[in-house]
Amino acid sequence: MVKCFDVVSSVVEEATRQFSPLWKLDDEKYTILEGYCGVIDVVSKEFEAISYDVSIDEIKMTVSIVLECPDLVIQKRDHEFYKLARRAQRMNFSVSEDGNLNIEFIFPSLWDKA
Amino acid sequence: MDNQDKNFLEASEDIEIDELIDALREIFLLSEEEEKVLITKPEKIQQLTCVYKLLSGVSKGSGVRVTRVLNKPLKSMGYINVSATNLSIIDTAKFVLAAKVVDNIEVYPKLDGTIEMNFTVHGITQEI
Repeated sequence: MVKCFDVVSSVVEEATRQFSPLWKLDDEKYTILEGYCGVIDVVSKEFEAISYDVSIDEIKMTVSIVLECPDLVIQKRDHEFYKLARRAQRMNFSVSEDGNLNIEFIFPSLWDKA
Repeated sequence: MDNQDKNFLEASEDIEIDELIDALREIFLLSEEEEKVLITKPEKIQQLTCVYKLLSGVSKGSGVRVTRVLNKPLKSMGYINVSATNLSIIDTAKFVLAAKVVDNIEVYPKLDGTIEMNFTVHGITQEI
């Protein structure tokens, strides 16, 4: 499976082009998000994730990363998933078109006013 | 039979399969515990109540139901069940706090298109 940050970076680059010149990408926030993507890769492997879907909310400019996997079972209290969850503004769960579990992490905006 | 009728029958069969699996699991697990005398541990019930309150506050979306279940699937277990068509956790810090109180969490899609989330606590009873 492709790395999460590979998908995120292409979407963020395109969004940065669209938001400029009024908004510019904050490199520090972007680096932090890259770190979260590394954790998503670890979690994805454990939960046998099938796909990633990344999108940017054009109004709130938040970053959405959706992980599709068969299910989620966690049996330890310091699991990596919780570190990721704490850093998300919000999490959404739904059923995908193929009947799998969609887990959506919504992270804060990466852009500041120029 | 047209496609609409076929789709309706298939969806109904999926729901029946879910219910059958849940019922069979209960029968197999409970049959082993019928002979034991058990008392409930108050601190474990408090844990479950705490998790119930946390999850009730942070679970939003469509068709959201939060319920507390005791002595199931085994008499020594209890869990908080969150079911929804679409589930949104609006305070992730509280969600993680609830997760750290319990022994395990499972989230899975059901065939009827809903999400099931169970926060389970073990050892809510002890044998006397």
